[in-house]
Amino acid sequence: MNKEEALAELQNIFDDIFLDEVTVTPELSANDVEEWDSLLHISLVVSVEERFKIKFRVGEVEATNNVGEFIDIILDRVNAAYV
Amino acid sequence: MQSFPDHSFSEIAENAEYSRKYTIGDSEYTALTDVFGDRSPLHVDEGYAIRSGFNERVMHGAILQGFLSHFIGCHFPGKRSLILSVSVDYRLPNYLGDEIEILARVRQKVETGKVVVLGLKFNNLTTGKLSASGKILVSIRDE
Repeated sequence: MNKEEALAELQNIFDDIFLDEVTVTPELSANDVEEWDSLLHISLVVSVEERFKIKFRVGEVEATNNVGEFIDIILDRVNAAYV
Repeated sequence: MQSFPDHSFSEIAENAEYSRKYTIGDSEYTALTDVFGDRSPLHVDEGYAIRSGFNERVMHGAILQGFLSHFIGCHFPGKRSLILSVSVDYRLPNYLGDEIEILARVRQKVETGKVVVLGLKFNNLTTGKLSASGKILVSIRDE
Protein backbone atom coordinates (compact mmCIF):
# COMPACT_ATOMS: atom_id res chain seq x y z
CA MET A 1 0.00 0.00 0.00
CA ASN A 2 1.26 3.49 -0.81
CA LYS A 3 0.36 6.96 0.48
CA GLU A 4 -2.20 7.66 -2.23
CA GLU A 5 -4.04 4.42 -1.52
CA ALA A 6 -3.98 5.07 2.21
CA LEU A 7 -5.27 8.60 1.65
CA ALA A 8 -8.13 7.31 -0.50
CA GLU A 9 -9.12 4.78 2.13
CA LEU A 10 -8.93 7.45 4.82
CA GLN A 11 -11.24 9.63 2.73
CA ASN A 12 -13.80 6.79 2.74
CA ILE A 13 -13.53 6.52 6.52
CA PHE A 14 -13.91 10.28 6.97
CA ASP A 15 -16.97 10.20 4.71
CA ASP A 16 -18.52 7.56 6.96
CA ILE A 17 -17.74 9.30 10.24
CA PHE A 18 -18.06 13.03 9.69
CA LEU A 19 -21.42 14.64 9.00
CA ASP A 20 -19.87 17.48 7.05
CA GLU A 21 -17.82 16.86 3.94
CA VAL A 22 -14.11 16.83 4.72
CA THR A 23 -11.46 16.64 2.01
CA VAL A 24 -8.61 14.59 3.40
CA THR A 25 -5.13 15.87 2.59
CA PRO A 26 -1.77 15.16 4.24
CA GLU A 27 -1.81 18.69 5.72
CA LEU A 28 -5.24 18.32 7.32
CA SER A 29 -5.36 18.37 11.13
CA ALA A 30 -8.03 18.28 13.79
CA ASN A 31 -7.75 22.04 14.13
CA ASP A 32 -9.05 22.44 10.59
CA VAL A 33 -12.31 20.57 11.20
CA GLU A 34 -14.74 21.89 13.78
CA GLU A 35 -16.48 18.55 14.08
CA TRP A 36 -13.22 16.70 14.84
CA ASP A 37 -13.49 16.45 18.63
CA SER A 38 -12.17 13.83 21.02
CA LEU A 39 -15.13 11.51 20.50
CA LEU A 40 -14.90 11.59 16.72
CA HIS A 41 -11.16 11.12 17.05
CA ILE A 42 -11.80 7.84 18.88
CA SER A 43 -14.30 6.77 16.23
CA LEU A 44 -11.71 7.58 13.60
CA VAL A 45 -9.02 5.49 15.27
CA VAL A 46 -11.46 2.60 15.78
CA SER A 47 -12.39 2.65 12.09
CA VAL A 48 -8.80 2.95 10.89
CA GLU A 49 -7.69 0.01 13.01
CA GLU A 50 -10.62 -2.03 11.73
CA ARG A 51 -10.27 -1.16 8.03
CA PHE A 52 -6.47 -1.40 7.85
CA LYS A 53 -6.34 -4.34 10.28
CA ILE A 54 -3.66 -2.71 12.40
CA LYS A 55 -3.12 -1.70 16.02
CA PHE A 56 -1.79 1.62 17.22
CA ARG A 57 0.38 1.87 20.30
CA VAL A 58 -0.59 4.00 23.27
CA GLY A 59 -0.15 7.69 22.50
CA GLU A 60 1.30 7.41 19.00
CA VAL A 61 -1.78 8.68 17.20
CA GLU A 62 -2.06 11.60 19.60
CA ALA A 63 1.56 12.50 18.86
CA THR A 64 0.84 13.13 15.19
CA ASN A 65 0.30 16.67 13.93
CA ASN A 66 -1.64 16.01 10.75
CA VAL A 67 -3.08 13.34 8.47
CA GLY A 68 0.24 12.92 6.68
CA GLU A 69 1.98 11.83 9.87
CA PHE A 70 -1.01 9.64 10.68
CA ILE A 71 -0.64 7.94 7.30
CA ASP A 72 3.06 7.37 7.95
CA ILE A 73 2.16 5.31 11.01
CA ILE A 74 -0.59 3.47 9.14
CA LEU A 75 1.76 2.54 6.31
CA ASP A 76 4.49 1.54 8.74
CA ARG A 77 2.07 -0.83 10.45
CA VAL A 78 0.37 -2.12 7.30
CA ASN A 79 3.57 -2.79 5.41
CA ALA A 80 5.22 -4.38 8.45
CA ALA A 81 2.41 -6.92 8.41
CA TYR A 82 3.50 -8.07 4.96
CA VAL A 83 7.24 -8.34 5.66
CA MET B 1 -24.55 -1.45 48.49
CA GLN B 2 -24.97 -3.29 45.19
CA SER B 3 -21.77 -4.70 43.77
CA PHE B 4 -21.07 -4.26 40.09
CA PRO B 5 -18.93 -6.23 37.68
CA ASP B 6 -15.66 -4.42 37.24
CA HIS B 7 -13.66 -5.28 34.13
CA SER B 8 -10.55 -3.21 33.52
CA PHE B 9 -9.42 -2.53 29.96
CA SER B 10 -6.43 -4.86 30.30
CA GLU B 11 -8.61 -7.72 31.55
CA ILE B 12 -10.90 -7.66 28.55
CA ALA B 13 -9.92 -10.08 25.79
CA GLU B 14 -10.75 -9.76 22.12
CA ASN B 15 -13.33 -12.30 20.94
CA ALA B 16 -14.55 -12.91 24.49
CA GLU B 17 -18.33 -13.28 24.67
CA TYR B 18 -20.75 -12.26 27.37
CA SER B 19 -24.49 -12.75 27.49
CA ARG B 20 -27.49 -12.06 29.67
CA LYS B 21 -31.21 -12.72 29.39
CA TYR B 22 -33.99 -10.18 29.79
CA THR B 23 -37.77 -10.38 29.56
CA ILE B 24 -39.93 -7.68 28.00
CA GLY B 25 -42.36 -7.49 30.88
CA ASP B 26 -45.35 -5.31 31.46
CA SER B 27 -43.30 -3.08 33.75
CA GLU B 28 -40.71 -2.30 31.05
CA TYR B 29 -43.40 -1.70 28.44
CA THR B 30 -45.57 0.45 30.70
CA ALA B 31 -42.69 2.46 32.12
CA LEU B 32 -41.26 3.32 28.72
CA THR B 33 -44.67 4.21 27.33
CA ASP B 34 -45.53 6.39 30.31
CA VAL B 35 -42.18 8.11 30.72
CA PHE B 36 -41.58 8.96 27.06
CA GLY B 37 -45.17 9.07 25.91
CA ASP B 38 -44.69 7.10 22.71
CA ARG B 39 -48.25 5.87 22.35
CA SER B 40 -48.06 5.31 18.63
CA PRO B 41 -50.92 2.92 17.78
CA LEU B 42 -48.46 0.28 16.67
CA HIS B 43 -47.31 0.11 20.30
CA VAL B 44 -50.61 0.47 22.17
CA ASP B 45 -53.49 -0.53 19.87
CA GLU B 46 -53.59 -4.28 19.35
CA GLY B 47 -56.22 -4.09 16.61
CA TYR B 48 -54.20 -1.54 14.69
CA ALA B 49 -51.02 -3.60 15.07
CA ILE B 50 -52.75 -6.75 13.80
CA ARG B 51 -54.31 -4.90 10.87
CA SER B 52 -50.80 -3.65 10.08
CA GLY B 53 -49.53 -7.19 9.77
CA PHE B 54 -48.09 -7.84 13.22
CA ASN B 55 -49.11 -10.53 15.72
CA GLU B 56 -49.94 -8.06 18.48
CA ARG B 57 -48.70 -4.75 19.86
CA VAL B 58 -45.10 -4.15 18.78
CA MET B 59 -42.76 -3.42 21.65
CA HIS B 60 -40.74 -0.22 21.42
CA GLY B 61 -37.26 -0.74 20.04
CA ALA B 62 -36.01 1.48 22.82
CA ILE B 63 -36.75 -1.32 25.29
CA LEU B 64 -33.83 -3.20 23.79
CA GLN B 65 -31.72 -0.09 24.24
CA GLY B 66 -32.78 -0.03 27.87
CA PHE B 67 -31.70 -3.62 28.33
CA LEU B 68 -28.44 -2.78 26.59
CA SER B 69 -27.81 0.10 28.97
CA HIS B 70 -28.24 -2.27 31.90
CA PHE B 71 -26.06 -4.90 30.23
CA ILE B 72 -23.17 -2.51 29.69
CA GLY B 73 -23.27 -0.75 33.04
CA CYS B 74 -24.26 -3.61 35.31
CA HIS B 75 -23.06 -6.78 33.58
CA PHE B 76 -20.29 -6.32 31.03
CA PRO B 77 -17.99 -4.40 31.02
CA GLY B 78 -19.57 -3.05 34.22
CA LYS B 79 -19.16 0.04 36.31
CA ARG B 80 -16.15 1.51 34.48
CA SER B 81 -18.13 1.70 31.24
CA LEU B 82 -18.85 4.92 29.45
CA ILE B 83 -20.88 4.42 26.28
CA LEU B 84 -19.56 6.48 23.36
CA SER B 85 -21.82 5.34 20.56
CA VAL B 86 -24.48 2.75 19.79
CA SER B 87 -25.93 1.50 16.55
CA VAL B 88 -28.74 -1.03 16.45
CA ASP B 89 -30.46 -2.54 13.42
CA TYR B 90 -33.94 -3.78 14.26
CA ARG B 91 -34.67 -6.89 12.23
CA LEU B 92 -37.85 -8.40 13.64
CA PRO B 93 -40.51 -7.13 16.03
CA ASN B 94 -40.69 -8.16 19.66
CA TYR B 95 -43.86 -8.69 21.62
CA LEU B 96 -44.84 -8.43 25.26
CA GLY B 97 -43.43 -11.30 27.28
CA ASP B 98 -40.66 -12.16 24.84
CA GLU B 99 -37.36 -13.26 26.33
CA ILE B 100 -34.34 -11.50 24.85
CA GLU B 101 -30.74 -12.61 25.12
CA ILE B 102 -28.08 -9.97 24.60
CA LEU B 103 -24.92 -11.57 23.28
CA ALA B 104 -21.88 -9.31 23.11
CA ARG B 105 -18.56 -10.22 21.52
CA VAL B 106 -15.45 -8.11 21.95
CA ARG B 107 -14.63 -7.31 18.33
CA GLN B 108 -11.89 -4.81 18.92
CA LYS B 109 -9.80 -3.23 21.66
CA VAL B 110 -8.40 0.21 20.91
CA GLU B 111 -5.74 1.76 23.13
CA THR B 112 -6.77 5.29 22.16
CA GLY B 113 -9.36 6.17 24.77
CA LYS B 114 -9.24 2.59 26.09
CA VAL B 115 -12.21 1.70 23.97
CA VAL B 116 -13.75 -1.69 23.35
CA VAL B 117 -15.97 -2.32 20.36
CA LEU B 118 -18.65 -4.90 21.03
CA GLY B 119 -20.66 -6.65 18.36
CA LEU B 120 -24.19 -7.18 19.59
CA LYS B 121 -26.90 -9.72 18.95
CA PHE B 122 -30.35 -9.47 20.45
CA ASN B 123 -31.65 -13.02 20.21
CA ASN B 124 -35.35 -13.42 20.78
CA LEU B 125 -35.40 -16.70 22.69
CA THR B 126 -39.21 -16.88 22.50
CA THR B 127 -39.25 -16.95 18.70
CA GLY B 128 -35.77 -18.40 18.23
CA LYS B 129 -34.89 -15.61 15.82
CA LEU B 130 -32.44 -12.74 15.72
CA SER B 131 -34.39 -9.68 16.73
CA ALA B 132 -31.71 -7.04 16.32
CA SER B 133 -27.99 -6.63 15.87
CA GLY B 134 -25.60 -3.80 16.40
CA LYS B 135 -22.36 -2.35 17.59
CA ILE B 136 -21.39 -0.33 20.61
CA LEU B 137 -18.25 1.61 21.52
CA VAL B 138 -17.50 1.68 25.21
CA SER B 139 -14.71 3.55 26.91
CA ILE B 140 -13.32 1.70 29.96
CA ARG B 141 -12.45 4.27 32.58
CA ASP B 142 -9.46 3.89 34.91
CA GLU B 143 -10.19 3.75 38.61
